Formats: sequence, C-alpha cells, structure tokens
Amino acid sequence: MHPPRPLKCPDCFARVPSPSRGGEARCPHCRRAFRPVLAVPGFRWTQDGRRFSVLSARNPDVRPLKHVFVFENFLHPEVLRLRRRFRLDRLVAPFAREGEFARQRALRHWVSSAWTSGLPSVRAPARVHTLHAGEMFRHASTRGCQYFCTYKAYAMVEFAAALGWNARLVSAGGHMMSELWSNERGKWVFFDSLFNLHVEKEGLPLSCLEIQREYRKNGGRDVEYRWGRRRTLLPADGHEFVHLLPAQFAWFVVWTNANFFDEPNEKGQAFSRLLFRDRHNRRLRWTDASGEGDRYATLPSTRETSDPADIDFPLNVAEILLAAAPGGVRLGLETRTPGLKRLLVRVDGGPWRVFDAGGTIPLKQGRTAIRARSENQAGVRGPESEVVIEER
Amino acid sequence: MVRAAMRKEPPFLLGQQRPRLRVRFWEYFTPGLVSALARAIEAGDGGGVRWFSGEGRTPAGERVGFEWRKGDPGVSFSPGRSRAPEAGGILFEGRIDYWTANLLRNFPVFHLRSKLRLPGGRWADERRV
Repeated sequence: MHPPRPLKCPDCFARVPSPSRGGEARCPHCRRAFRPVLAVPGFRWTQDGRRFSVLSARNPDVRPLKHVFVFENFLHPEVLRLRRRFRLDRLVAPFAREGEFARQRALRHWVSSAWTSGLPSVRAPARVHTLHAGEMFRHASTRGCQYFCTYKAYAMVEFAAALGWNARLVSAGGHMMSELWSNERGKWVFFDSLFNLHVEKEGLPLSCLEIQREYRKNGGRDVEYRWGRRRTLLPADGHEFVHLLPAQFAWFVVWTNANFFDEPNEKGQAFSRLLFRDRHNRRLRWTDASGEGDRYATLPSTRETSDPADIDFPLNVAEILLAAAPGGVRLGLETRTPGLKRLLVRVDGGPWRVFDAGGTIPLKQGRTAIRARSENQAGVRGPESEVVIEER
Repeated sequence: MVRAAMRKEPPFLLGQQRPRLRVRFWEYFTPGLVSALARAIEAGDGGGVRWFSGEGRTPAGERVGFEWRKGDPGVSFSPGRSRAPEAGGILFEGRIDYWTANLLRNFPVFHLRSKLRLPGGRWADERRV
C-alpha cells in the first residue's frame, strides 16, 4: 500500500502541510501561498463565485525514488551513431501503426537475430561486459562470433536507448534479461532478447515483478509466453527455460545502471543492483547447478528492497499539480523523465503546447480536460496524464 | 542428404544466403514448441524458410521425427521414424540469410547448443540467508 498522495507545491514540488481552514497553503520551501486543487475525483472548490469539482483524474504520483536508477544519455554520440548505423527507425517503422509495444518487439526480434547465442570464448576472446552492441554485431557478422544472454541483454538496453526507450538489465537464476519501459502501457515490460520472448497475461505484457507474483499465486498458470514480433504463443510445457522460470523469478535483481556508454562497465560486476526481497523469498536462497549460492544477493553492490514501488516505478510521466487562480487553475507539472526535453500540455481538443510554468488555464462552463505529458531528448513521449474539471 | 548436411554447422556471415541451414539442438524437445516455430514462420517471423525436418526426443524419451512445409496446416510428427540421423537435429530449407539463421538458432528449442547449457537451478532447502 502506498501512503496517501501528498499535497505538493505546484511551483517547486515540495511537500506542503495541510491547508488552513480558509483553504490556503504555504509552501515551506519557496514560501509561496496557493489554494491547492487536489487532482482527485470529487475534490470541490469555489473560485470567484463559481463552483468546480474534479470529475476524473489519471494522474501519477511522482515521488522521489529511494534507489537511484541511471539511464543512458540519449544524446551520447555513440547512442546517436547506433541509431543511424543500424537504421533503427526503418527497422521499427513497419510496426508504427501497431503502437510502441509492437515496435519494441520488433527491436527485440532484430536483436535476437543479430547474432547466434553461444559462448563468446569459443570463437572470440571477448571480455565480458566490455563490448558494446555495435562491436558485438561486427564480430558476429564478419567472424561468426557468438554471444550469450548477458550480451544480448546489454545489446537490447543499448539499442533501446538508441530509439529513446528506457531499458534496464535484469538478472535471475543465471540468466540475463531486460525490462523496457512501455510508454504505451505505462509500465515496465519483461523482455528476453535471447529467447526473443515476453510474458503476457490476458493480453497484457508483464514486468518481472508481475511475473513473480503470478508464479507465487498459482505457479504461473495464467501467463503465456509470446515469441517474436507477431507474439506467437509458445506452449507452457515447451522448454527447460519455462520450467525454470518459477525458480528464476523467485528472486531477481534489477541493475540500476543502464548508462553503458557514459559509464562503461570495464570491471565486470561494477554496477549496483536492486534485489526485491519480501516475506515470500526472504528465507530462500538461489543455488545454481554448481551449488554456488546467492550469485548476486550477497554482493556488496546489491541493495535490497521490499517495496514494489522501488522497482516498478513509472517513468516519463508528468504529474499535474493545480492551484486555484482567478478565472481558472494555475498549472504545475512534476515529472520523472530521464533526458527530459520538454513538457507538453493540451487543453480539451486543442493542440499540444510546450508547458509554460506558472501559466493559468481558464476553466470554461461545463467540462475542461487538462492533459500533460513529457518528451525526452530522443523525441519519445511518455504516457498522458489527465484531469477533468467540471463547473457545477 | 539430410544426414550429411547435419553433421556440421558452419558459421553464417552477413551477406551470405543459403538454401539450407542445419541446426543442432538440445536432444529433448516438445512437439508443441516445434509447432509454435511453424506458426511463427507462417506468420512471417521466420524469414524465408519454406520447409524443415528434424528429429528430437520427447521428455519421455521417445524419438520423434517431424516435418513441415509452408502452407501445411501443422507439423507432421512421426514417432520413431525420421530422416534425421539422430535426435537433436533439424534442417531448414528456403531462402536463409544471416538474420534468419541467427533467429532460428536462437529459437527456444534450438539455442541450447552443445557447448552452452542454461545453468540449472533449484530452490535450496529452507536455509536462512
């Protein structure tokens, strides 16, 4: 359970104590006074003799993260070069009409087909974690080098960044996978770029945490494995990997660094990781076939959390913060957008406009819908937030 | 021909295009996964593959041959009989390029190659850590 949504200053986003009886609050940080309009359905207020209420709200609660996650710099020259060199836009363009998730699947499909999985030491003297996706592809396509799951996951994260998507590594049970943030679905989605698959329940792609919950609930009876761009259904009893999934997701670690170009991981396990450990798995430990245990859990650079919000937090979202103002509402936007380029606002059916901090949105008679979203430096836009206000 | 073609699995480089691809895979498989592969190819996710044939061993230990051709309603399975020399091999035919070859080799049935094993795992006893 999350604590109740805090009251925030629309100017500086600091948490503000409850308003006085007159409905006015004062920000303890910037000292500005304002009359808060809570973006929760049913909230009512009066302004200049007009009575308003919030009819509906789809508005994320942007809170500071307890554990820092670092994503790739979308403007890093090597990231831009990946996009150009591999013509990634052309690669995913045929799936544009099907939406962002289809384009992300197209990228995963391509990454899976970029080289054959195998031990790099067999055919190439590659050092683990030091090769970037472009180099791996060059070695594979010209010399037949092979790279296993860890490399595939690294490549997926780098190629995703080249298209402006946030991705991160996930390790579980000796297997390396990734999660991509889906702006379309407003959630993290598990991607296995070696097996070229993801996991769905009732047509919705799941995150690692959700997969773990499904296995705890009923052994994963309700989940489906989907392969390739076209989401081909794989049989649940089909493969050793499928049988291993319950154990693999009994615990997993999420890598908190995904900025491999800005901060190359030249010393192997240098990045920090976040382990989700709660009452279900706190007494358990992982052992691999060799009997070694806690491959990641015991490393000093692994931190632990029992709060799902520390892992499945939203990205690229804009929280709408409102204050009553003459003739309308004053709008503030707080966002968690790595590589933020700009914030956009749209009122009713009008065009998206660049957010002007401190501006007032007039409220007309009837309903007024205020929408907001962020856009990152790669031009990718996040999920829409929306608050609908009605004059009573 | 199938027997000879499956003995060796040469590397596939960018720009190459071949009419055949042979893939060794983990000996055990389930017919359901091979059927899924056929469905994926039929749906357009398998490059230019038009036909495949191979043999595996079910988890129960039974040797099963299988064959599929583009347009077929499904994969035909022949328990105990196949054109493959041994369980754990498959031969693809069609227009196979670098990308298709990698995609097929990484398909969940086939990626477990002779020198690569997915690390086995199990829950340890209820030991406190």
